[in-house]
Amino acid sequence: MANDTFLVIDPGAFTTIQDLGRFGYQTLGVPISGAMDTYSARAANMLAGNRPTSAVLEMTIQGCTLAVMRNARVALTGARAEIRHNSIQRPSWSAFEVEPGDLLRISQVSLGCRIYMAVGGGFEVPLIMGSRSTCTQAALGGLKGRALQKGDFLPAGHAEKFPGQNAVRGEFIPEMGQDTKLHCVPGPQEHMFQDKGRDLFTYPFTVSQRADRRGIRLEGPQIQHSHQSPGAIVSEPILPGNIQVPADGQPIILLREQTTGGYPKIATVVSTDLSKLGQVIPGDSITFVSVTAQHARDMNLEEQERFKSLQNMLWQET
Amino acid sequence: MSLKINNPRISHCADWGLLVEFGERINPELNAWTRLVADRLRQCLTDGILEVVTAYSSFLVIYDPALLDTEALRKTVFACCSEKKEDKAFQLSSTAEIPVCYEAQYAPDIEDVARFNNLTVEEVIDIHSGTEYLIYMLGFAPGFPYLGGLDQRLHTPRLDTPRKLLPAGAVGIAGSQTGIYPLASPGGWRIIGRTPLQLFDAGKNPPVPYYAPGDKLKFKRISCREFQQMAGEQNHGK
Repeated sequence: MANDTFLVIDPGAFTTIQDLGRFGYQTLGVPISGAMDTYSARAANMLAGNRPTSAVLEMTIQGCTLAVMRNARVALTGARAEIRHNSIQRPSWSAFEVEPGDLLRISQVSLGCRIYMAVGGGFEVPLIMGSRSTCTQAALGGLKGRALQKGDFLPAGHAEKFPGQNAVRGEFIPEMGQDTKLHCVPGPQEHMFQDKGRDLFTYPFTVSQRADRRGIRLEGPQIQHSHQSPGAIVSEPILPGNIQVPADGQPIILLREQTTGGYPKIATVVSTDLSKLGQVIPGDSITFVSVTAQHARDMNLEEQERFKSLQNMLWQET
Repeated sequence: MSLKINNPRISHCADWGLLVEFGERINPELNAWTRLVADRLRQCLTDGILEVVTAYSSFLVIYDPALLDTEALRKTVFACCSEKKEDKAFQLSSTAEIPVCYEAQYAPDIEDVARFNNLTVEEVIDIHSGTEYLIYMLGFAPGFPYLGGLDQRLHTPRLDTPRKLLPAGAVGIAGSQTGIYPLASPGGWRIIGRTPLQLFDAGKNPPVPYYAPGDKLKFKRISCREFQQMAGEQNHGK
């Protein structure tokens, strides 16, 4: 195809095409999908000169190796990894131009979990139900509904030459580490737990091996349901960030590939902290901090301002 | 209507979700009411609303807090609840007829279901295909219907060990529930048949072409020959 821009030499462990998500079909059981770390995905698009809704590559733990077929601007953000452009080493959270015949090799992550790569013009796979995000369980969206494979061609949209900046300043690069603090609003079913769910905020929890795009199971002190409360509820719609607690008392943070849940939800992670969950790995420690819904809204508005500043800065002509 | 419906419990899901719950019950009228209020909300408020998702007796509003004030949203939800309850959503909606082949090659567990309930295989098929089910909601997987109305004579516990892969279209029983797997997936349900229809198709609009929440659903018995013919037609249409 005319606009094939990369050939996949090595797809990495689990690399998918994602945008900001597929909204409007959850009543039919179709999950939101979309980038797990939307902050990094949006920043990558800004660096590439794209709109925030353009599709990017999301690489999990292991980066991919791509052969370049057309001139393009690429931008890499998210987890830290070694980025080799032919023999040149490029920093994370930066953008650069590539040419036909170039080789891009992205290593395993050294900090964080997911690497994002944007290309000028965006990855141009078909829009399915309004989104380019991959939902592998339903084999829909992205590239043929699946993770990348060796030999795949990746098409990109048309892009004008981008005159903006090539690097994100340090203050806009999120911290990543083994201890993650998550703000969350109690509820919607905190009344089904002892002391209105205070257990959640008392001790840190550990990210278990069962952590993927669907949800993250945590291990830690057992959270007590209140005596009169049943351990399960009639299935309800769920939102990314809802923290469900099944009968075993070990919380599960629900993420982007599930539409309903049948356990009471003790609290919900604020939307602006969901990106941090895209960067945790098994063994990391998580501490929950309780905030009001009003405070969560303020955090959201602040982040929208932050994106505006970041875009203004990156889109200044060099 | 006979059911008394109280004002909903409305609670925040952080900064971008509002959960509206009408009570913890699985009841056809409560389910119809939930869908009706959600529909009214979809019609009167669009700016800033990303999605309204319905389930058994609750719905979730996903919104952009920069564009929508939650106090205003809360008031609108109550206004949608206070309007008269007689509405077309309470009239019976359409009935989907899903063809199912109950023959042994597509129904590995049908003999177990019969034995467990002291029935013959023929009786299991007659009861299962002779009942009209209500689609309360879709969830778990794209297009997966949560059906109400399984005859008590067919209630059967799940398999002790779930199967690693069930084919798309598998029809099963788990406890007091019956359902269809629209996509191939692992599962512990007792499989008593299979439909040749492609129940979820991302390329179609709507992607779940044969039914929607609130519809009635009936299973229609078909032969192996009909199954293969219909499956062939489905593939041909692609």
